[in-house]
Amino acid sequence: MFLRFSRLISILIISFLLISCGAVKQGVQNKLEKLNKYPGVYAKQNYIASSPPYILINKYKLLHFVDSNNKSVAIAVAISGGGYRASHFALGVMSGLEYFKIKNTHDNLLNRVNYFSSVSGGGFAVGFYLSQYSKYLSDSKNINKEFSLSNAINSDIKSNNSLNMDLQSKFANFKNIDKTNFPLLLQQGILSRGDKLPPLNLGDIFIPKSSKTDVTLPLWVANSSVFQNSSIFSFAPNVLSEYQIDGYYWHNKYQKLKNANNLPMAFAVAASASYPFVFPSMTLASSTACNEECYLQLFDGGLTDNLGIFTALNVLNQDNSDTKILIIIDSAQVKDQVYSKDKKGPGWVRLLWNSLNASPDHMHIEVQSFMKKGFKEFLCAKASNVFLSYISLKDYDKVSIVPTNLHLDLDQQQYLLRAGKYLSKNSKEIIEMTKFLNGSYSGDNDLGSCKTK
Amino acid sequence: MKKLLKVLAWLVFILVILFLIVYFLAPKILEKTFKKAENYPHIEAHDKMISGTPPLVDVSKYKLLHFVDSNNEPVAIAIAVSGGGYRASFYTMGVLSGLENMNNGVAGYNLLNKVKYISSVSGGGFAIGYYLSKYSDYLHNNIKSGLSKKKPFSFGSVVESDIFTSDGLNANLQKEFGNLSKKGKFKYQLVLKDTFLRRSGGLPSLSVGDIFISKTSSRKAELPIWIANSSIFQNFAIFPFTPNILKRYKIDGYFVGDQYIELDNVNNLPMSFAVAASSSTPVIFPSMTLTSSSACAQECYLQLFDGAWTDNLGVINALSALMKDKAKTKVLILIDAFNQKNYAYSKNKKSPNFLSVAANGSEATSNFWHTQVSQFMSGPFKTYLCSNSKNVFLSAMRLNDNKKYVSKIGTNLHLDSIKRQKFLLSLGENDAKNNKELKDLVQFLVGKNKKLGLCSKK
Repeated sequence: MFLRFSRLISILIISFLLISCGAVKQGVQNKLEKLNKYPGVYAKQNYIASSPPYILINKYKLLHFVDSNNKSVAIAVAISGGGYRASHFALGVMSGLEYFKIKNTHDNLLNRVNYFSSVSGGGFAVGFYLSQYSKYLSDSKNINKEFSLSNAINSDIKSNNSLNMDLQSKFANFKNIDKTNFPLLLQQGILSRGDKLPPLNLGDIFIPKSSKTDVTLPLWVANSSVFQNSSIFSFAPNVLSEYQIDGYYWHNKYQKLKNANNLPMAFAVAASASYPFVFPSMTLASSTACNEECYLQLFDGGLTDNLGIFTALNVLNQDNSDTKILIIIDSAQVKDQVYSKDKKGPGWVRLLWNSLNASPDHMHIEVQSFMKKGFKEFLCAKASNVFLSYISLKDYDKVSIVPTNLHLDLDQQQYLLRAGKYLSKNSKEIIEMTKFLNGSYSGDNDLGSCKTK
Repeated sequence: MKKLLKVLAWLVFILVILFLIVYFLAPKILEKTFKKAENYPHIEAHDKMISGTPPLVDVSKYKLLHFVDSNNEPVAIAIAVSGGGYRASFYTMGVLSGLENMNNGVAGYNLLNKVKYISSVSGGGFAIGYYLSKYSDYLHNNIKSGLSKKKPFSFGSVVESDIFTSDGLNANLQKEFGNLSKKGKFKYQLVLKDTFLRRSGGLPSLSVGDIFISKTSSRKAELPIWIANSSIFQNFAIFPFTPNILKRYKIDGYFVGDQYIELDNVNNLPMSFAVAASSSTPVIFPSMTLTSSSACAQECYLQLFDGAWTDNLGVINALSALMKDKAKTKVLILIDAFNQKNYAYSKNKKSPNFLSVAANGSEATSNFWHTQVSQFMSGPFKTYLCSNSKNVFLSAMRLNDNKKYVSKIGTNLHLDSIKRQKFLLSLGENDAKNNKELKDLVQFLVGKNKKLGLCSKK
């Protein structure tokens, strides 16, 4: 993807070359440290950097679902980043979840989801789904109609195809980087709820316990990364208030934020998807956190946990349900080569560039090969049944994987949707968890039980 | 005057031409250069699974030390040691000396010689290498002189005397490697062999086979299992130096500088290579290169860099070793000497430029991982370990927690004074001696309180 950004890259390289000339004498790292004079500011509460706030679900009204035995069930879905590849694959998986019906209700697995944790492109998918779903809920004419994400996707593709809005050309060019209003584009496109409804803001998703409003939507946590200390920044009102955020920049224009609930979700999705170099950071402001006005610069959540798994686990762990379900949707392109052809080590331009991918690449491998085994044990500590499903695009087709792009061919769009749908419909774990929820399994096989080893 | 104007006009003309060339041509040329950099060539392995699901350390293949509590029930203690240059190595040596001589719980209790597993990253590996080299020297001399262990080994006094007598603990690697022009000319692992990993009496420095003793071997296990962690350049998987991992990657050679050395048995790989690979900070150090003649269709290479790029705490392999262990009591001790960023806010409202972003990028993983592990993962670690044991103790010594530790020591490969070395050593020693979880552990081990560390709260 990045190779297309020729101007940006050339400027990058020229600078790298400029550094490199001096670096031979002084040592690249020292030089870089000197150039990296982008100053941090200490907060009055100095613990905030080392133990960053995370979402506290007990502050909000939550959806409540039960299984066929009337025992409570919590479902969390974690969705990885990866540009439009991620958003379309996730939408495919989500429409596959709709296919699993819950017995004796009009529900399906998708609208039984309590929590979404999204990163970068994955947030486009959740944003589209919740915008469409809330639009459907708000219209009283729909009372006898069932919502279908598949239909919403199809009609969007047929009409303006906002799912495939060309962001690539808007941001590929370094000259445009500051000229394009990223969150506004999202509000007008993927996150649009038509002319009658305003786009979602934080308060539509996070409803305080004291509020009279009923909760109709799952908790959706969009994850981004704090630039200075590379910690996860989860967009939730309690996180914003702990960071004492009282303003934000909407395309370079300062907006006062009296109440964290008024922050547009488009801002959160944009921050979660602001890949460094390609996008500018998204800026939140605080007039009280430090001794002077100070700012939180947010970049792509992919720089920290590109799977959204930490937030999803954290949220499930806070939940008190008897049964816990975690569905991970991973559309990452993990490098599938470990050996090098050269015996000489890589040059340092390559090293610096690679370093941006270190965290996501490493996390994807660790989650799959080691940590996944620990997730069940972890969740079982406070639940009686746990189901884990790991849906990975890599399992559909190892050969033709779509690059990380913010614009797709129509074929690629359909391919990714199809792949997601196929994998979720055929996932053994998802079939099992549906059986469990519907009580339609023979008693002796103790599905998802935490006791069986 | 006219002449001057003419010259000026020419100059402007040349500048404009140059500018145009740079503006139109340079992007294309540079893009090509960049593409080349981006495609630092990788090569497909015969075993395609190896990159997506990298092999894990399997400690059950080796002879292990065996420790029990006062009820004769087995206990497994694992230490995870973070990176952070000499800051990490000195702080770690301090913690190890503290463990050796606990005054919290039971005075003089030695926890250090009950450690079964050590997982180290980067600078932390210097300290571990130093400890195990000195300890194996001691064991060797005991056998040679036929002394029944009259004088117990004291790591603390070894460190104390070494600080004054030699430069082995504070060799100025900064000077050698902070400089790009020297890169590649320097044989890093040989330097380590002469400093942290030096053994007395002409003994060869430790190799993989001294640490990992196969179950079929007639040799006795005397040292704890020590896993030095590095990162594979191509896919950012953790590369732990154990024989089973080396075999799985079909490694049959390595490079010392530019010199190829054949490896007919992975046990012969020097641990100095492992420590060097584990601490090869990108850009400053060259990668360390392992070779395989059978893994790919042609000769191919594993380029290894600093373990900090993946798990800078070494915690994943410490957990992995503990999970394989069948002991009823499991202990995880984290030694974290990381300089965590203690600010989240920026002074500028403007987005950081790409230089700041690139400079930050190389630290993102370690920053993120340290925050996550200290904040959220410590809970999961406990439940995870509890899933196959009865008592679990989880203790963390963090350099960052020292309130008095105001003057931050940068990640350096040279400390400027003995005072500073002693400062870090004493911080580590005090942190270990005053750690509450370790006090509980000692109470538990000597049988004073058997209810500590219980997994089931019910």
